[in-house]
Amino acid sequence: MRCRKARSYLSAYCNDELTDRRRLAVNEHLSTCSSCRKEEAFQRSLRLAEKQLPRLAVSNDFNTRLLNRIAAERFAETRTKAYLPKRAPVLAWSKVVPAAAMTLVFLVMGVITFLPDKNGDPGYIAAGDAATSDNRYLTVQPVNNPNMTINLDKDWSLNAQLARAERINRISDRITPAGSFGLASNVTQVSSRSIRPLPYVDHYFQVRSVVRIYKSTETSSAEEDLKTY
Amino acid sequence: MAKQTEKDIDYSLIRAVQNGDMVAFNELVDRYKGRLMNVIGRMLSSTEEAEDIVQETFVRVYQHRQSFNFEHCFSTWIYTIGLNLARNELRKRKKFKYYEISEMQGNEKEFAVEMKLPTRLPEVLDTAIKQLPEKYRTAFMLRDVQEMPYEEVAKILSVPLGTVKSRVNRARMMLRDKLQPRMEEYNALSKSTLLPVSIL
Repeated sequence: MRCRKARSYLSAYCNDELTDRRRLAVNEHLSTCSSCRKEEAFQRSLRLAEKQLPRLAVSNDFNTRLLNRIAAERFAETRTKAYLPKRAPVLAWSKVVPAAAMTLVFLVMGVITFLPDKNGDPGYIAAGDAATSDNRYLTVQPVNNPNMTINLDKDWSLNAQLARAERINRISDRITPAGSFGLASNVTQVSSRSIRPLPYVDHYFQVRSVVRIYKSTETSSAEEDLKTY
Repeated sequence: MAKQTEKDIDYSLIRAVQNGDMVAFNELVDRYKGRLMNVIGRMLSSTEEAEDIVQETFVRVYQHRQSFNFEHCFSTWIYTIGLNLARNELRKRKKFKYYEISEMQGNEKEFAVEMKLPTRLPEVLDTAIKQLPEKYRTAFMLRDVQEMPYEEVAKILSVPLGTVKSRVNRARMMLRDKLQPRMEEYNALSKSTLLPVSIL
């Protein structure tokens, strides 16, 4: 065994912590190496000094102060226990079960009684109402919405709106056939080279034809239009 | 065999404490206050704080006396409580710097003259132990000073057995490295009883 390895085992050797095999190997090395023997002597003096370390002690009134503190703890424990019931309440199942059963019955009856009626008015137009059209859910409007203060009496269903659009188209076709508003065919672009129709003329007049609905001379249709929209 | 007897004594005492016997609790205090103070006093390096920690340890033992598990060793249990409290105190110290009253007085020269300088190897060793890092110091104190078995030290520190052996060995090497350079000087000077000399 070399010095370096032997010295790494010296502290354990001095404390009798080595196995027999290793202790014998260290012994053998120490018998031949004086510097390691000096190191061993130093380690042993350290071990001796450890046993002679000054022992730290508590103060003389340590026990008194501690027991006073413990007494305060016991007093606190006693005070807490005084407010607790001595025994946990035992459940009388013969009384609990009927009471629970009655409570359950009342709950069921309450649920049945206060279940909302399907045919009643829930405050809004319900989806899939059999009395009205199936498509009403597409245009449902809340009755109580304060923002919707205008046209509340109007029918906003999809069918009504489609009917309204159909009427407008019918009226616009009656007044001005598509692409021919009197002057449409005469409006052309004058240029030095050729005469050709203005672009987007047909569309322009189609838009204008809708506006003219309100200026139609046919009073009955105009009144009807004013009423509907 | 002696250790086994001590263990039995501890068990009988804690059982009596669980039944409300304060005399048994007082006896437990007398058995362990010195041992705890010896370890915790060197962890904190302030006697007053160490005594507070030891007192708090016994209060905790009393508060949780009913939860003691008789499958474990009582000494392991009480040392674990004490060391955890000491570590918490050390952690608190790292957050807030504590000033010693002597530093605040500002008279360092007078303080140095009045200070008792170590003259013997045990006192030199004591100073060196206090300068070890905390985890090595704790393992060294429990194993070499308190002479507890490695297995019990491992349970107290909640680390593997190999880690305990490694830490103890490392602490011994650090002490040896610290004291070795002055060893011959110390040996020569310690023979004189007239001049108190500081080695470290």
